Amino acid sequence: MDVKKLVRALWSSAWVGWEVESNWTEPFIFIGLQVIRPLASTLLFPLLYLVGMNFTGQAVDPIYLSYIFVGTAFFTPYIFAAETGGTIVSQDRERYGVMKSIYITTSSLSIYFLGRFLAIAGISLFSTLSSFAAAYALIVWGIGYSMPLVLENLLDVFLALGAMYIGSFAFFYILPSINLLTNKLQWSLTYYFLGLLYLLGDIIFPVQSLSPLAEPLAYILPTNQALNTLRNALGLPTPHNTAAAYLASIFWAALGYFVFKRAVGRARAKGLLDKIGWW
Amino acid sequence: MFTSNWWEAVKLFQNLRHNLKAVYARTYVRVRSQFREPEWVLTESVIPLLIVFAAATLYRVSGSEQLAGFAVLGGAMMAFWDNVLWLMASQFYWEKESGNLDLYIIAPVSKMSILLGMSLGSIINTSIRALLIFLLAAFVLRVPVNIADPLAVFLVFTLTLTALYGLGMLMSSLYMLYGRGAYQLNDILSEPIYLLSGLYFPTIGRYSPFPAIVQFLVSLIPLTFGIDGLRRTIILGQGVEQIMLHIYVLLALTVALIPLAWRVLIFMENLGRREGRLSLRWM
Repeated sequence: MDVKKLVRALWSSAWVGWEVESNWTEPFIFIGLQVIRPLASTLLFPLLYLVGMNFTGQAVDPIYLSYIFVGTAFFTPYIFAAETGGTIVSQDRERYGVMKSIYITTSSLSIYFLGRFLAIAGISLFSTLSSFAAAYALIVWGIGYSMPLVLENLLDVFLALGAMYIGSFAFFYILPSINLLTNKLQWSLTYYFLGLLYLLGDIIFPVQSLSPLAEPLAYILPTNQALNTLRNALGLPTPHNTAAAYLASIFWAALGYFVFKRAVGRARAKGLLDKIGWW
Repeated sequence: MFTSNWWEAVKLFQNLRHNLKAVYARTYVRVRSQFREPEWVLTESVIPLLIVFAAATLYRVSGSEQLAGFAVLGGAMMAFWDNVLWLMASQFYWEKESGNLDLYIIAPVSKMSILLGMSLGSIINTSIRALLIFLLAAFVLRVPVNIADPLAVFLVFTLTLTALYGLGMLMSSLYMLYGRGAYQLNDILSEPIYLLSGLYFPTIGRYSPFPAIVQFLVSLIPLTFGIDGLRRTIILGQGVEQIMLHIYVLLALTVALIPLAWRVLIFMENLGRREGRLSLRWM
């Protein structure tokens, strides 16, 4: 495929992704899905922590509050990638029946998924930053708790965001790979992934606090070091390893792409690319 | 005169019998479908458990271990909210997509009987899941259960479910004519309701992080007072006297929501008939 065709296919897929996911023509749905919902997710665990400390009469630790806040706010790109990645097959294959048409174009499903991912990446960046700003304002100025976040190192912020989006790319390819081969998990797979990451991904507590034996996971999963790098760049004293963040994210992204290619091959061989209904 | 009254009584009885049969039939389908794919029971129990474990661990890491029960209870009740959103509110939308709504409309029974059957079936199914979530989480996390007054627990739980499924019936009626928009509205509502209704921490009363006006507004969602009442009776060991406000609010919501659902259902059905939108798909 020449570069011009590749760019055109990518652009078309990203445009479809933007149209399907953003609902920009319906402002209520756009704001609800892209601002209100991520904002609620971002606030849930910091508020749980605050209420817990007040209920038991303990002092709030601003550093830990900020740790939870940054973790939940910047988990949003992973949530977007997992939610769209987890439903894209059921939508395109089962509901609208367009997957077979995309498959027989001169482009490929990998390019189509990359375009859809780029759209999700753009939307999730907007959602993450807007929910970060709104939640920060609500906690600091609305409820009155301090969070010592300062932009100490802009380069590290960009590096951390880069690692995060490479990691979320991995989810965007792994989840559809599974759903291409079975339709039993299309409603649950995303939530298994996200639930496990809430437990093991350094989102609201370091994974070591579950058990010291879990410490290696902090270097294996794509979220842990990426989020810790970001926390450090925002002035929090969190141990981090930027190189490990990239290694883990790139490993998962490469694995995701490989698994996806294999899954498409198997789905084609088993006649699953246009299979509709309960099977 | 006597003959006319007698005939009307017979007709009323037949009508009631038809509607009760419809309630039973709709309940049966819903309960039976669960046993057709039992792996779904496990799936839908394990997913909330992961979040419950995360929330309970956050309580533990921050030194508020004694509140882990709040997260466990929230996880169990989350099953009911998800069920109301996805299998009550949107049910007529799914039925429309699959072509069943047309059959419901032409069936010689009240649509409320179908909604009631859906609710009963959902309550049975979801109670099994919620109990499974509660027992598994309480066992793994060793959450102390402190029930001082079983009657209070029963009252709050029953009233929470009647009010909550009343809301489900109302939403189902409202969603009857809407397609993809209803699906998106559910997506928008899920997380904000998790946050505002206090699934994992109290959002009404002394420890709420929200201002009074927000607390008042979220009290209109039956889940808010329901979870708070269950939290007080199951975890904090309170009795009926301490949760009278909860009982009154849940009772008022039940009394308001179910008749409202009935009125809205009739209105939406008539609107749908006039505009020819009852069997429109893909919108």
